[in-house]
Amino acid sequence: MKKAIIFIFIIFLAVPANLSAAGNFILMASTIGPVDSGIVDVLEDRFEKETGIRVRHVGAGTGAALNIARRGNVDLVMVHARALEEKFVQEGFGTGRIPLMYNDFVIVGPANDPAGIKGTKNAGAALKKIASAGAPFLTRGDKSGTHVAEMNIWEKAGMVPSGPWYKKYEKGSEGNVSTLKYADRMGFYTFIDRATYLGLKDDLKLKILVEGDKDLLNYITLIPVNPKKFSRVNYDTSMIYVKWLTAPDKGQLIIRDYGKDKYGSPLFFPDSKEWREKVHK
Amino acid sequence: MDLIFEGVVKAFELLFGLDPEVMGITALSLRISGTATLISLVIGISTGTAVALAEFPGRKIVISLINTGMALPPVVVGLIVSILLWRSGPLGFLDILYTPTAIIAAQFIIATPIVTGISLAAVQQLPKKLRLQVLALGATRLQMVWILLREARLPLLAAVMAGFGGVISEVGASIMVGGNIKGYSRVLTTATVMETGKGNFEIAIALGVILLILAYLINLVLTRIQQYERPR
Repeated sequence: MKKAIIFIFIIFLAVPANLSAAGNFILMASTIGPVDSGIVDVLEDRFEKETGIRVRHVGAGTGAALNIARRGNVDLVMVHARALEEKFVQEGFGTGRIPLMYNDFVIVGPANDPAGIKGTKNAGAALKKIASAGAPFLTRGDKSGTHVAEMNIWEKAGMVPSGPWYKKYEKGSEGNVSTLKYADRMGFYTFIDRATYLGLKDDLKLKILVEGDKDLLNYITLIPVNPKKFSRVNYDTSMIYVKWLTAPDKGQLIIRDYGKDKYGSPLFFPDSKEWREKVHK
Repeated sequence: MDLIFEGVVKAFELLFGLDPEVMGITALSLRISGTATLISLVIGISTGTAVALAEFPGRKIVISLINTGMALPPVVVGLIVSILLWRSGPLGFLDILYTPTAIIAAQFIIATPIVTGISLAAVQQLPKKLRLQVLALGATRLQMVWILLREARLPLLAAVMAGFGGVISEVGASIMVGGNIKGYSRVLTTATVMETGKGNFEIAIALGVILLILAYLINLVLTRIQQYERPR
C-alpha cells in the first residue's frame, strides 16, 4: 500500500503548477495552409518577442474556422474565401475584412500530363480539359478556402464537375499537405496553393502544370470577431496583433521574406492596405 | 514494414536526443492524463464504494448506467464538453475551451465511470461477512470502509490502470476541446493524428511508439505494486 501511495504522490508531482485556467492570450482560428507552411508560428513568435502578448492558433479550413468563430470561440480568424468572409461579416460576426497577404494556387498533375493541360494560360480551360479527358482529379471537397477557390474556377468555366474521374478526398479537412501528398501517391491532378507545393516539392512526383492566371490568386484575410456579438472576445488585444501584422515595417516585412532562404522564392506576398500605400508612394 | 521500423528508430532518436518539442508534448500528456486520472480516482472510488455498499431503490439502474459509462465514446464526451465550453455556451464564462484544463475536464469525464465501475466490482466481490465482522469488532463506518478498500486494493489498482490507459490513449475529446495548439494543448495522441494527416508517417509512428512506451512503463510500475502485494 505504501508503494501505491508513493505512486499517487508521483502523479501529484507530475501535475504542473501552471495549468492556467483562463486562456490569457489571443486565440486565432487559421486556415491550414499558412499554418503548415510555418509562417503563422513565425509571426506569432516574433510578435510575442516584441510585445509580450502570446497568440495561439487552432488550425481549421476556412469554412470550419469561420464556424468556430461563429460560436465566439476565437478572437480572430485568418481565412481565404471571399464569399464566405463577406457573409461572415454581413451576419455581424466579424468587424470587417482586413487584407493581409496573398499567394497563388496552381494546378498540379503527373509529369506525363494525360489531359495535356501544360502551359494552358487559363485555369478554367485547363480544368475543362481534365474533365473531358476524364483524367482523375482530386478535390478537397470540404468547403475550405482551397475548395471554394477551386469551385469558383469550375463555375467560371461554366461546368459542374462530377463523374468517376472527380475524386473527393475523404480526409480533405486535414488540409492541403495531406491532400497534395495523397494526390501525389495516386498520381491525380489537383488544385493546391503554391506555398504547400513548394514546401513539399522535393518529395513530390507531381509537377506544376498551370500557373499565373489572375483567377488563381489566393488572398488571405484577417477578420476580428465582433465584440458586440460576444462580450468575451478579446477585441482590443487582437487589434494590436492586427495592427502589427499589417504594419509595413513589422508583420508585412516578415511575410515578404518568409521562405526565401529555404525555397528560393517567397511563399506569400504582403498585401495589407498600409503596405500597398507605402509601396505606391 | 520498413516504415514501421524507421518510425521505431525515429522514436528512439527523438527520445534519447531529448527533442525539446517531443519532450514537452510527452510531459504535457502525462500531466493532463495524470491529473484527470487522479481526480477521477477520488470521485470514482468513493462513488463506486458507496454504490457497492448501499442498498437503495433503483440501484441496479445506477449500476447499469455506470457500466454503460465505461464505454462512453471519447468523441461524444468531446462534443458535449465543447458545446458546454463554447464562449456562447452555458459554461463559456469559464473561458477554458482550447486549454489543457478543458482536456483534463473531458478526460475526467471519460475516466470516472471506468474507475467507478471497477471499484464497484472490487468492493462488491469482498465477502459480505467481512463487513459484518469488522463492524462487530467495533469499527466505525469510516474505519469499515477503509478496511474494505484496503482489502480490495489489488482490483482497485486495476481501476487506476484502466482509467489512466483510457485517457492517455484517447484522441477524439483532446482534439475537440484542446484544439491541438502547438506548445500548449498538443498531446501525444493529437500530435500523432496531425502528423498522420500531413503524411509524416515516420514521426507519427515515432509518437505512437513513445505513447506505447509510456503506457508500458506506468503499467509496469502499477503491476509490480499489485503483484508484490498479492495475498499469499
